[in-house]
Amino acid sequence: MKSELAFDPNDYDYGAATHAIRSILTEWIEIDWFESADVNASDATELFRNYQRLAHMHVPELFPRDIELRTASGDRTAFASWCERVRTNTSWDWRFGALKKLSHEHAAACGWSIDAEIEHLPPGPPRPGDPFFVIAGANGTRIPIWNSIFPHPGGLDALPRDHFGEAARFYIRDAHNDALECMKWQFAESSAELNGNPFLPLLLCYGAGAYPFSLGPATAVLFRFDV
Amino acid sequence: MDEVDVYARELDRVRLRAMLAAERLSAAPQSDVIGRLAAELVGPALPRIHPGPQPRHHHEQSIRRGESVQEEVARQAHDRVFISLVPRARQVLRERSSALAISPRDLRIVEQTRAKLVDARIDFGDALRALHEAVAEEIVDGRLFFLGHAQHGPMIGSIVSGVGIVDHPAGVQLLRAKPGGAFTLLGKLQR
Repeated sequence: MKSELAFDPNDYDYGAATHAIRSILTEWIEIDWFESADVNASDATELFRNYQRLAHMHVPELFPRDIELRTASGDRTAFASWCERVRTNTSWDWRFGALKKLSHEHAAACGWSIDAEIEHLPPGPPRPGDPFFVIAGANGTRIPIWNSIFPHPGGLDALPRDHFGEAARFYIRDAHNDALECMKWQFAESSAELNGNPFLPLLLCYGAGAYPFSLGPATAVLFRFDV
Repeated sequence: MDEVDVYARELDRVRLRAMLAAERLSAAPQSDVIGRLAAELVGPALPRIHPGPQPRHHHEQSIRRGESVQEEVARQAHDRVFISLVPRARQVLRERSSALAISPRDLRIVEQTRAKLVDARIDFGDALRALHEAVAEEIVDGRLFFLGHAQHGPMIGSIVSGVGIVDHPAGVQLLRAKPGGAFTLLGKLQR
């Protein structure tokens, strides 16, 4: 199950981050979601540890350098059970409690804000590949709106509304957020250099068929579908 | 609707704000919570109940004449925050988010947005500004996303939950984007 872009990234200029944004888009549409894959456990583990190491460099209190990383495999039912486990975990929220803070602190450290990014944009609807646009708010305010340029996989909507279908939609929504954070990181860096971006190894994990589940600040599981 | 009904409705609205604030601040040190809770309740002036009509409902019995809604709720919240308010807030959040079929996080954002929209007549720009502020207050790095085109303009909201707002001749509406580009109407944004 893959995604398909509704635009040609070569038609868009993302400033100094252009090359990086195009690479991130390519990584995203090449992910074949929820398919059995012959995952190289060592490679997948290395990708996740690289994400952890890069995140640790920016927010060490939320991302310890050393973590317990396990691997697991199973069918769609097992995947849905892992999703259920992290969704019902009230003591740890990876996306809202850690990754968003990482993104926020990095942007602040870089002095980046979307308000500055949209300063010269006229209000109006976005083109498909525009990452953000402006809507005129009350009293002359300009409200920045993000436009998701990362499409969902085409088959996602067609999945049945069963345990796995709901789990898959939940997982994609969160992973989609990682793609957006990955893009935002490059805007904040104002650079085409992707090596320091902790969200890129996460996308590469998905692409490798290894689905991370963070169970706590220092515990994670990489799940793969049985071949 | 008479004065007591109006008052009761306002009291309920501000009481929910107090509970939402208490829930959000429950992890903070006690000394911080009291002060910040009071600060949360400082907002646009709400009606004062005047001497005259006697309270008809049991939950109005403790209202002191001449006391503003905010003063009343702040007084109650200060007394009870660590005894019953936080558990009650969580219960109310569960009940109301279940009724609307949205998450407690989205409900907090919706309620904060509503609290900022005190004028009787608001347009989509007002609603968007209030939503933008509420998202930024509730979520670290909170952002608004374009969720799709509706009949009367863009739908703007959360890309995680699909809950957002859209303009409509009858007033700004709260919706949830469904798979395949359809929407589920959740109700009017403004009460």
